[in-house]
Amino acid sequence: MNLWISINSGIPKPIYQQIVDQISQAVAIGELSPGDKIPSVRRLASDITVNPNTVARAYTILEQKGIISTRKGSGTYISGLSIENSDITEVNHLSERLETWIQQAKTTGLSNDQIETLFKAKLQRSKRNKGDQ
Amino acid sequence: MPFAMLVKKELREALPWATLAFFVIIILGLLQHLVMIDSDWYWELRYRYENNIRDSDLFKYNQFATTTLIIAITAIPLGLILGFCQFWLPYINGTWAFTLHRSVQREAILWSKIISSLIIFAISCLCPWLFLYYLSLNIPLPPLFLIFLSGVEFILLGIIAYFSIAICVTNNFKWYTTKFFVLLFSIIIILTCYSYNLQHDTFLVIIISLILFLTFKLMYQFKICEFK
Amino acid sequence: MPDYVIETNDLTYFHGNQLAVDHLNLNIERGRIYGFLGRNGAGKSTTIKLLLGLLRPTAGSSRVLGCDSQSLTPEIRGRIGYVTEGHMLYRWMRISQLETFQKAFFPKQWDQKLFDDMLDYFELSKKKKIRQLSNGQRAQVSLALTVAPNPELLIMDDPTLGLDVAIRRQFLEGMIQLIQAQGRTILFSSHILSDIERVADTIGVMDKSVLRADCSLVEFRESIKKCRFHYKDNLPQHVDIEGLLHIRRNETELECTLVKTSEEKIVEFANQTNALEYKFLDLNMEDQFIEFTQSATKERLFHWEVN
Repeated sequence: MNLWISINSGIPKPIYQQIVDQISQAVAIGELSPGDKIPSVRRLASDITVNPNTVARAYTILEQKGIISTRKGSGTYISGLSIENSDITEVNHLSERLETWIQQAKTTGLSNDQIETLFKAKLQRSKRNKGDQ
Repeated sequence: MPFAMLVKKELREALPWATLAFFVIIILGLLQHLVMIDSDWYWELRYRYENNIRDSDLFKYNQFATTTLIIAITAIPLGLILGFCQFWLPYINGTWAFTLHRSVQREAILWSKIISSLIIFAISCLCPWLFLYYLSLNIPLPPLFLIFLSGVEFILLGIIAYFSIAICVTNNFKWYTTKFFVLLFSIIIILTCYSYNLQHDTFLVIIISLILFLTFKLMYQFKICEFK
Repeated sequence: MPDYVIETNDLTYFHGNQLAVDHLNLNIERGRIYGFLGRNGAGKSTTIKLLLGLLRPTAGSSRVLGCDSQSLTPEIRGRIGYVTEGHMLYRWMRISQLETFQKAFFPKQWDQKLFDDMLDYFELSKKKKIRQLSNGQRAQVSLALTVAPNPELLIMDDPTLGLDVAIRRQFLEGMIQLIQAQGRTILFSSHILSDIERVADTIGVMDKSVLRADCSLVEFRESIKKCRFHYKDNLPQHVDIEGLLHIRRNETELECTLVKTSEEKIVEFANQTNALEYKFLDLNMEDQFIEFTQSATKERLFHWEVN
């Protein structure tokens, strides 16, 4: 999970609002995708040195807005994917592996366009294969 | 055990002064003992004793008697210093709050200071005094028990000084009003006793009563005093 | 009935002739992280010392964990952790000696692992003498010593005073870890607002011996706002809005700092004075605090939650 939140105390915007805005923005620009796991309330509170209640308040607002959802025992995730409980961990793993793959591809020297082309080609082929079966 | 820990802490803090007092008494006492053993005084006393001349001068010139002055000049300042260090320094260092907020009764904190001071008087003053007393047994003159008692009286005066200064620094009065009243009171009582040239037993009764009075006063004051 | 760990009843204290605490009515619920705000000399430290029985009130009373402050039992004192003003410790002791000293008073409650972890986190060697430590390091030792016995209530008197920004952040991180543990109540006084904003959930504002605000942090932040009214040239001479703290004006604008003023009242005022438009401006906490405490009208901001 790539969630970098930077909180400033001493500015007009309340801290909980800063958290809400930064997570919303991260989702909007694609830094966070549906299914991505975000830190728990306690973990985030510890990371950014903020009262856990403040983080909880922000998470509640985000949940009300439908941006995140909390699965009991599993954690807090970005919403958007309507997946069964049991699949969330799988999706999370896949998401991480995809990230690693993209990094490797970039290290090899492929450009974004090339990566996209490669991926689309594979996806098309798997659709065709599925179609055959 | 919490109380023992408090006493240990007080003892360790007062260690430099206790050690100083101990060595002052021992060294000055030994010096005096060695210096005077061959002096005219000594031979004068010896002559009087061997010839059965028993007069008050025997008491006055007894070599051992002058040693009590060493006790006086050590025990009384020691009392003042201990009282000052235990009760006034925490104000200066700002550590009263840390000391007082503990899971013990406030009285326990006071008694840890008192008991540690009494231990110090016993070890730094009484023990060397006993040592010098037994040393003087080597001199072929009877070391009068009354002389030993004089030394003990001076140690008790040191304890009075300790309690007096403790009471003075922990009351919340202004220094220019009645803050040092108790110290002055104690000094006046003692000087009055000396001016009347009292017998030892009367003097001891007065000293011990004064100590008891000061103890209760300190206990009461410590309970109600404010620690800004 | 809410469970109050700290209650005061018209607590008053005179320091000589100077009024230091004026009829304080403060009630802190269990589990709160209470930030006690105020300028220097406002009465925060005095209040804390009154709560802990180190000072005797001139009038009124206070109770901590249900026990009167002037007669706190050793058992109750054992449940209260107190980080003293200036975090003064015995300078001659080593950290290990202080540890032994403090441990003796908490044979059953002492959490050795927590103490050791905290010292590791702060990178402090137990061999060091207190006199060799900087202010910040001494504050850290103080915190570790106070927290290791797992106190139910933690009272900290200006714990970050004199600490540089890096050590302060470390200290706050330590506090956040503490907050994570359930059931613990923390009262800490500070005049560093950004610290309070991060860590507290409820605040109290002391201003010249008087408690002017006692509410949640969010409520404080949301209640004090600036409203700018724009006029053509007919600025009103006399401004009368409910909750007015402060006014600034120039030729065409009137800037009002308001506390808990409803939008209706603002619209009413705008209409009455023929303002062209009005705009809300957010304030940072420092500005809110300054405007709130320096206003000529001594507004109060209280919010008692009744369960």
